[in-house]
Amino acid sequence: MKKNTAYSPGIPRALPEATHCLHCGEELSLSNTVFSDGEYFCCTGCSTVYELLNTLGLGNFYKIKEEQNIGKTGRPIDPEAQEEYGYLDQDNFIDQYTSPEAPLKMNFYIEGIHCGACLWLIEKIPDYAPHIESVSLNMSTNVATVDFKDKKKFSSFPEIVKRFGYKAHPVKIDEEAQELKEKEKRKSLIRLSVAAVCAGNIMLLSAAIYSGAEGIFAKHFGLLNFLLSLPVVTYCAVPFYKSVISSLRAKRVTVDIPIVFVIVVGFFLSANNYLSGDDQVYFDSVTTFIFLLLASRYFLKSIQERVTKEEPASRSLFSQNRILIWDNRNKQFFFEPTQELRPGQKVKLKKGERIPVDGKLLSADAELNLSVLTGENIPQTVLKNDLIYAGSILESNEVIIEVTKTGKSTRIGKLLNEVEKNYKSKIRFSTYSDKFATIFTLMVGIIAIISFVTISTIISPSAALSRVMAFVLIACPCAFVFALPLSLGLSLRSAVEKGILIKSTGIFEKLPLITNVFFDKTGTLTKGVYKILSWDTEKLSEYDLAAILAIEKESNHPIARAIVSHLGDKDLRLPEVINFKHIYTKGIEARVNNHIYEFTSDKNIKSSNDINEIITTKIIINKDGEAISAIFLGDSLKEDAKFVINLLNEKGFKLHIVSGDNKNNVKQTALKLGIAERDIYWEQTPEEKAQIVKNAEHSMMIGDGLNDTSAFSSSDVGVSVQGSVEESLKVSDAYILNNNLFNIVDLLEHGDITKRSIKRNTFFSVAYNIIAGTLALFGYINPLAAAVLMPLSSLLLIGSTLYGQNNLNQRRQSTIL
Amino acid sequence: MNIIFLTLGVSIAIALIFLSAFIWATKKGQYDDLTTPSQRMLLDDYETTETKKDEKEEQVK
Repeated sequence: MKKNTAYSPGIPRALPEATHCLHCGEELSLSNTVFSDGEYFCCTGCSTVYELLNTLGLGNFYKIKEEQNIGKTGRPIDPEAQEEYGYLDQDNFIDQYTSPEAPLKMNFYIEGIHCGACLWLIEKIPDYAPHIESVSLNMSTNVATVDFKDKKKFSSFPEIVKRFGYKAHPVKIDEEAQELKEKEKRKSLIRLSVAAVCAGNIMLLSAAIYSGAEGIFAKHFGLLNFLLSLPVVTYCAVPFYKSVISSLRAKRVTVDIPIVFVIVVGFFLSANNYLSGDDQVYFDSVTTFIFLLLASRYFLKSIQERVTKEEPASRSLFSQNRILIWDNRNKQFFFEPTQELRPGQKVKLKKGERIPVDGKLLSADAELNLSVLTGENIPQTVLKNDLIYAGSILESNEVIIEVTKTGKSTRIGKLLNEVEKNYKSKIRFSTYSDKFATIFTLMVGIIAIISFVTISTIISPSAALSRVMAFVLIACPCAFVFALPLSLGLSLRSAVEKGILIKSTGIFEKLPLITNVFFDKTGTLTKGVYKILSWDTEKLSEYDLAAILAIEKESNHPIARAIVSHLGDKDLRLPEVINFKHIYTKGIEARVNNHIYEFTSDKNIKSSNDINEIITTKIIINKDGEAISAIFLGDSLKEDAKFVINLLNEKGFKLHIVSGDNKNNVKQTALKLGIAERDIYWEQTPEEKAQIVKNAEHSMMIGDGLNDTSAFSSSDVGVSVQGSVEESLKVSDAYILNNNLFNIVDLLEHGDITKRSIKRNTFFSVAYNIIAGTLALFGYINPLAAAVLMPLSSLLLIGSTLYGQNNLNQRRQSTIL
Repeated sequence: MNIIFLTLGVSIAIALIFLSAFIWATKKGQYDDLTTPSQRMLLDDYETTETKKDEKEEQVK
């Protein structure tokens, strides 16, 4: 393949005529432009994919993008990555990812799908891949089902996909679970449709009765109503009966109890009245009620499902599916499924891999990023026979470790398990709607009994029965059966659109109470990336720079690596280094061309003037005993951190920082953000963090990783901003995508508005129930009035909910403008 | 006015036909994925520009 790709210092010196990358739509600037085949791209990845697509005759990809007006789509995932898929053709993996019924079918989760053009590209693969029969991509789950022509060619699909700039992960076909879920969804759709057909027809027939149909018509229409309501009550409403039975078993009062009460009473009263020739029938109300309920729950559920869809399979902590295991018989390392790891086995790990087990290091030394456990991103050195914990990332080259613990018995596995357990017990049953339902049900019951006694003594028992029944039916718990799910569902959806994933809707009831907000530092307020912040290299001669680079190349300490990468783009000729030595806790020393260079760290750090930088390390370079330069290294604040903190301060929240980092670094951060010194906590272990958060009232914890999980579970609302979505959502209430801190302000606002909308709905509902209930008890409600009032009140509440949400959207727009 | 019972029967029969059609479609899985088919129908006209198939296969290899 011809290659005339040149990096920016090469060809285009002026800005290209094209302003956006041809492949991904990224805006072009002088520093990132790649010129290839007469077109401009933002990176070599894009130009490589473009070339490949053109040689394969897939240039229509760009035409589709243009026609569908798809602009920016995100960069391709490194198409030339050294990702090996050969393991997929091994028997032990084939067994895992295919089913015996369909031995040539495999499912893949595909990362990087954005639009219709991507769909076209992926589904065109069978046209030129000899081993692939067909590909069908589901864009709502990003899972592709691939049929292969030959056995043991499963690796061919992910390899092609990789070259197109996507990433495919094989997905286990868990047919039972999948089918069960699908069946459940289809069932509820069928229930909804049956309810719709029956309720609609009953409405029509009832309209005729109310408008005065008499005699034979009334009788037959009534019969039809009765028959049509049977499937609704006996089939469509089954989920409510089931839920009531299980909640009674657990001795809990839920919203479903009054619902079932209304359904059962309404149906039997109507059936009884119909059979005895009375015209007090409520078939229309009961069936419409069930239909509206099913519809609002279906809506809520489909939104909740969309929330879980956002999970990219690759980011899960234990998602790595394969590992190199030493085979004693063949004296070689083989890929094996990670689940089959046993203690005592030897495994080989590569740079950048996440360690899936607890183990003992067998290689001489290794650099590990332990941020999962400590929250700090600076790698630490471990030596031979040291313990290594699952979840840490290998930062140095290949190592061999001996497995000691796997899966849930690893340190991180235990931690997660514990937190998850705590979390489950923490979920309180007394949410607002449940409380309301309990009070409501009790009130209706008490009033019904009192009224029955009074009316039967004043008028007659039969009049009392019919009036009390009408009252129970009219006193519909609309506020929390239609409006609440709708309101929560809409909030959930607009949160997802903003990049906030929410685990349970209970969070909306707790958010308005929040007064104390706790932030973790590293990775939450700061970027968590350790790099050189300032170093005046201009003052140094090229000769010295070359010597420094040569010396630092000898070491693989993170500081050394930061220096090497900082000097990486300079064209330096490296001199020879002799007498390189580490001086314990002091630094390094080496001799180059008769000069002695020393690198020592200086504890005397002044904070940086730049508003976003936090200096954590200062390195002094001495040449023959004389200081020639100073390097400042550290972390920097996220761009939006200061803005968000100011905004939250203005809104009157009390802000705190809890960090595992040292005093100086935490203080610097607090100073830059304007958080008072009495509100910051440093050098805290995960357990201490949890205690601090627990002691504060109405607390919200915002953190970035597993080291904050105990704090999440002891706060009222835990929000994670980074890491694996799946794992984070297990232990926190919300997850913020894209690492965007501004979403926290959004989240708090969402809680406010939702609460207000719920309050308004409750008010309407209570007012309606008092008025209509009184009228029913005094015998003024006839079937016509009931039929009009019930949908009317529901419509009122739904309208009020939509109004509240609309308000939210408008306010958001005005804040953006 | 007895014709009303006939029309009533017909209307309910039609309702049942549509309901059973809907249930059939649901069971067939036509409502499982609502995103992809709407995208896919826009794409049918695009073929890969014509080069010989063998040639492409070679390039992939």
